[in-house]
Amino acid sequence: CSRIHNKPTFSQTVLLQNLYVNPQNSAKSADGSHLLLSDNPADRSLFARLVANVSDEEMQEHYDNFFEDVFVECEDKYGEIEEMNVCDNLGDHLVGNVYIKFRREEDAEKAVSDLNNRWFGGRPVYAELSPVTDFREACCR
Amino acid sequence: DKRSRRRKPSLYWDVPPPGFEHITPLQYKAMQAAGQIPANIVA
Repeated sequence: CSRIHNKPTFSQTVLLQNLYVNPQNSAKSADGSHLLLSDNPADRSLFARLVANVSDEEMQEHYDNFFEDVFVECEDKYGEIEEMNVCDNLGDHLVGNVYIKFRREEDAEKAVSDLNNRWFGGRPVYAELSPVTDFREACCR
Repeated sequence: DKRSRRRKPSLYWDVPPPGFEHITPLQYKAMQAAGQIPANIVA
């Protein structure tokens, strides 16, 4: 894939680039700057523990919390969500990508413009409309 | 029903990077684009 995709003007689907930071992947990094997900000290120490010894159960819990946090926030603020997926592919352009398909195109548009001016876990959100509508067909070659 | 279904405060939403509390995410991204701060969007 050339990765040259046409960005749609209208779409129900929003892409949030690299939003999910997997604790197992993070632990492999030497630099550590991105490990800070929150300014809450209790959360920091929890996260440090996760990084030090990340079990599959803890991974699942971390992911579930992330998923719920993003889903609830976006549905409350922007509108009804039909489907939400988090990419598990480790490619730089895909890792942690979150795809949210709203029921209404207007809600997706509103979400992109608002989310692009919000922080998430100590980083800015990178939001854009995505051409993906059927996630089973989303694999490009 | 417009009530939030949130069960607890978010650990992530609207948490700025330490030291950048005074600027907006849009300003931060503009600084990244201008090379003033690293653009390592991938953790």
